[in-house]
Amino acid sequence: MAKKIKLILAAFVAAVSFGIYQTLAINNASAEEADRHPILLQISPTKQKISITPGSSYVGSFIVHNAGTQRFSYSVSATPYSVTNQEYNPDYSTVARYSQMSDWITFDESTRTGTLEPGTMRDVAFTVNVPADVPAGTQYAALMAQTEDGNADNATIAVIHRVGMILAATVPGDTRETGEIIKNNVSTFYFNPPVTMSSLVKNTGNVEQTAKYTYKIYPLFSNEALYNNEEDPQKLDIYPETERFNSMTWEGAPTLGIFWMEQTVELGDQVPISKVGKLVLICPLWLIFIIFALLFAAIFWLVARARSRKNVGAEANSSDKKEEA
Amino acid sequence: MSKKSTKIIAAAGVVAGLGVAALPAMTFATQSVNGSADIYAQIDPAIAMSITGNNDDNSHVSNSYGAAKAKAPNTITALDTLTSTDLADYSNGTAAVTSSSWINLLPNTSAHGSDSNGFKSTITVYTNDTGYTLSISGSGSEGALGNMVNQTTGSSAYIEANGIVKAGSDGWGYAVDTAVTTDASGSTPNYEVDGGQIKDGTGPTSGGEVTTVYYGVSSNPDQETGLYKATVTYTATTDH
Repeated sequence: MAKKIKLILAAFVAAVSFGIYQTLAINNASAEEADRHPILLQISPTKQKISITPGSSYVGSFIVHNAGTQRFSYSVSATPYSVTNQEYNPDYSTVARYSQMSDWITFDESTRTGTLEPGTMRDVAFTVNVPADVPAGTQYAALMAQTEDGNADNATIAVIHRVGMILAATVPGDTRETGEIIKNNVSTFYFNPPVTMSSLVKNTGNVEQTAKYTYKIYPLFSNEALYNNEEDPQKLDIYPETERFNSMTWEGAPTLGIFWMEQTVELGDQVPISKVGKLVLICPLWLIFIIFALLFAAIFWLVARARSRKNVGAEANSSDKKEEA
Repeated sequence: MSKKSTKIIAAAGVVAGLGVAALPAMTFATQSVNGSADIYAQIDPAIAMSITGNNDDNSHVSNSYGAAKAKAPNTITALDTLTSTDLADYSNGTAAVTSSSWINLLPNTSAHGSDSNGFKSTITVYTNDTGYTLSISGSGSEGALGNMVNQTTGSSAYIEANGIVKAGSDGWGYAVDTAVTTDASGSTPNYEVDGGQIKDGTGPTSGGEVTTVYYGVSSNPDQETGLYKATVTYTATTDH
């Protein structure tokens, strides 16, 4: 009898465990399903750097991917690409000296438009027909993939999904790789985090250059770096005849401490490297008030004590004189 | 030596002999050749974007219904039973309606997009690159928002893209990441209308990075009836 009861109990526990497992599995599956977007348009790579020669054609391709759960139709196009300020805000409409290339780009008709099932991707071919009289330097365009699907007929606001790949094409010839590191800033005092190092780099040449940023942070009395990206420095592309501002924020900086912070900025091979290292003090304002208050209190106490001793001395002298008299 | 001892020694000898004989076989059986192969998976840089609005029938009914309704919005209602034709429409490739946004308002009123009414676009960007920019553009001059145009055939009525959203005057615009809750004061815009960058995103993203764009719209006292519509383009590119 006892044996039967044990068997029944064991079977019950197994059944409950299985049920719990199934419930968790279903919930997890539901959660995963909910995280997947109906329309998720993906493009790869995000940037291509190529070399083109005047009077020739360059054929390349990129991938458009339906990473969502619903079929959608897409189309591709080429737009100008340039940046408008030191923060490198993109401009996809202005045709300027270094953004003429979009007019030279055509797409393979068989892949220029199409429909993608969920999880499928397409290789889209493009051709850059380079004019014979194009000047030396780097030209830019953005190759866009877009879809207008997913909008209701009764929409008030219809949206177009558009993702782009930046195409940077360098024309050989009379090219200049010149530039200047205008600013390399490491501030020495912060009331509180965040703590940042910033820089401003200028490309005065006519070809794209790459700037490298190396950051090192050490505690005051230690050689063990809290942060060091020397083996994998940050790299940013600097477009011709532009200035680019960049800043690095030290995530997780403490609210109090003294540190050695160092920023090294390199631009190409022709520009001297800029390296700035400084002792940085992080001290909250309320602590500064307390320190000054204590300082003043100490000074006041010393002065009061000195005066008190002086008065005592003077009283002693006057009582001595009275006694003598 | 006794017979018993002799037998024992003989048996032990046979066992030992068999064991020695088995050694090469065992060694052969346990010998193995090991090797290794490096397995590589190349992940290329990519950028992806999804936009969700409040035209999302999927929150209430099945994907099939949502898709069918998008295909024939004026002929299918929530109470209809899906027919095989409806399902065929879905299988013919109409994507479920999820991206656009919709709001209802009377003349001489205003509507501000919020998390509760969903008159907004939720843009999610995924990238394994070092950073990205997200931009907005419309059909207006230099990529600014265009007017909301009445879709009724022959109508020239519109709601102006001026960023001034207050009951009694027509206007619309957008606000990034923070909902606007009050009408404009005088002629000072309370929404944006310019095209351009709305997010300088860091990458690689972790689980996607979300930007919410709220819309606001208002109507004048004799605003013509109809469905007014504007189209907004969101563009994501790398910024390295």
